[in-house]
Amino acid sequence: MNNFDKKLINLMAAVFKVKPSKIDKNITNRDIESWDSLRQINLVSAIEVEFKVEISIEEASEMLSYNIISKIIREKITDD
Amino acid sequence: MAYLDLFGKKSVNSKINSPLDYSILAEKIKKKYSKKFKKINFAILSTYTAETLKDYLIVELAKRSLNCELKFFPLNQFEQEILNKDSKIYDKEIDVILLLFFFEDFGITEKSDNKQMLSRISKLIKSIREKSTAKIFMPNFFGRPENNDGNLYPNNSKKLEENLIIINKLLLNLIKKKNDVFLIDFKKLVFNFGAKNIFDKKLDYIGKVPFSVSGQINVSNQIARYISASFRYPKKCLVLDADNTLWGGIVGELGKDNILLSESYPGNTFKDFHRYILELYKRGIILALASKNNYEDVKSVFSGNDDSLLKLKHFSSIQVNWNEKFINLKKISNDLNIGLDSLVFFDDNPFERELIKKKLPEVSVIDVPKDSSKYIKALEDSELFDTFSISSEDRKRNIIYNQEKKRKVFKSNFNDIDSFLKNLKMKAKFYKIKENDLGRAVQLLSKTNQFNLTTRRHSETDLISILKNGGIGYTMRISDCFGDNGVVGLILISKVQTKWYIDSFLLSCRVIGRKAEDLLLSFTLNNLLKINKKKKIEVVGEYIPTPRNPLVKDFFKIKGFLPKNNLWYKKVSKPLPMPKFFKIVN
Repeated sequence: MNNFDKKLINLMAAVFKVKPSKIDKNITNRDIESWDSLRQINLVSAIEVEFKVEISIEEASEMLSYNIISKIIREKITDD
Repeated sequence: MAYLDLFGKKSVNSKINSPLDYSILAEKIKKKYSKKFKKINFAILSTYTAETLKDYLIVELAKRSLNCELKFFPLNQFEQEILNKDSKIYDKEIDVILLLFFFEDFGITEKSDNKQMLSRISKLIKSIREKSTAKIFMPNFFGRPENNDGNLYPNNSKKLEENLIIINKLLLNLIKKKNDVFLIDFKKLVFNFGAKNIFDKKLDYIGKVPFSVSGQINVSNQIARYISASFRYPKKCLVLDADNTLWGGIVGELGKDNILLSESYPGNTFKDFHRYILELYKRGIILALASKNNYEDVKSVFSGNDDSLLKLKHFSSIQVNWNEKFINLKKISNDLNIGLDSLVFFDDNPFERELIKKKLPEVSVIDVPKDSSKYIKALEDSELFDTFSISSEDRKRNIIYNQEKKRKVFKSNFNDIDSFLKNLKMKAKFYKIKENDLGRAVQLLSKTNQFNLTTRRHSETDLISILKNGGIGYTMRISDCFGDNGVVGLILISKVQTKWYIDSFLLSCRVIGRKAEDLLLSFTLNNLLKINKKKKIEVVGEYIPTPRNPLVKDFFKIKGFLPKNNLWYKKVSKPLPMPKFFKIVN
């Protein structure tokens, strides 16, 4: 696992208050009980601060699985 | 030291900036530290999503040694929840009810009816008070960034801002008349950090979270600061070093005229620090000096350098010598008759600070920054002098301590205590504790440690409940030929069936040794006799030991009470003698 994935997994684990081992690359909001609309806000806020990116309001609503989240962030990081 | 484990050497105001760090810390606090801190149960009612503040609040409160249990209530159920007497916000264990709202929620506009709005808030507070003794916290009103159609000149927003200022004044006046209701200054927070940084439109659209991440952190920090201040008492005394603290450079080497202390750079940081310290002095913080120096050198600055706004007369205890500082701090605590835990130590020298931390852990030591332009901020951010109200007693405190100096000299002229007391020409005045004037009583209860039989820290609401159930209480003012000692004694008696329980009995350390306690007890019991139409009364006393009050261990024994089951009993059928030396001026 590369550094990017490690960072994102740890971030999601902290936001959803689960162990990092519970988070894998195939995970979606249906797999984690604590992934509710409130945590979604925490997730977006944490990503913006930790990855120093800006998430648009449209993207925020799409960020419901590891894959999409990782794709959205990666695009912004490689843009720079 | 749970605090150091968690936050290292960082001070209360050093901010952790990432939500992730907060989240991880919050979990750690809940798992490992919750039992080490004082627990406070919160009920949070809000008109916006407040749950995202959870981790920030847990961490910010833990920084102040509080462990919070947070209960959030559904959005916008504000008034329903308050009016419903079965609401969970009225659960017995709730200590703090936190109300979070914006001005829009109360329909405030540039021309809204302020009276109507205030009476609505007043009714809500009243409704809570009828059902709960919890402390109530709410923000004052503040403007938010608004759209202005590209209009570059101020239009309505200016009028709204003006109206908010008026409403906040009215709100503050309203709250001062209520018991245990506190206003959190959100307006100042928004001013200090800037609306741009505090608010986030996007989060508001997504989930009714009005604040940005840094906004949420700052809001939580502000809430925690106010709540923690309501659960403790401000420190009493600021102990200052001299060289490189009150001026730049070493006076013994440079001389009084060449030290850095002036209106212009580079001495202006120190002169400004003098100004700030004088502000503290004026509101009743006692000042003391602890400096390793020649006394004459230090004195030459205070009396011979016109830029020194602080003068010798501002210091109630002056320890300028070559002794170790912990010896001087003990001397200061003795001189002023206040506990070491009431002292705040400000010294630019890290070595001295570490030594005090080690030798006198009770003393609060400020982590003084190297840069003197940050001295004021360091004191301000320590939150150690935070308070919600400054009483006239506070303002007079420094005068009182100066009188005490003179009294000590006077006392040394007499061989026996009786002739000293007689010549003091003491006068006493008693005030019945009344529901509409409880501030002074609560203050005495919260800060008196040594001559305090039970050390019960009652809130205003507790006092009201004792008075409503037939209890009675007095405070006592003592003055003498040197001036007013202030309100220095309190007795609180609750009635249980036919017996009178001395719930609290205390005396300020300033008047210990003057038989004022005998006066307070006799006056009160004689009044109870009168109330009881001169029939026999039974009085029950209690001594609850603390590390600070062994002084009064035998008080009830000396006063002729008889011990039974850890309590002390006395039957009184005729008036007790009043101690001589006092003239009662009621």
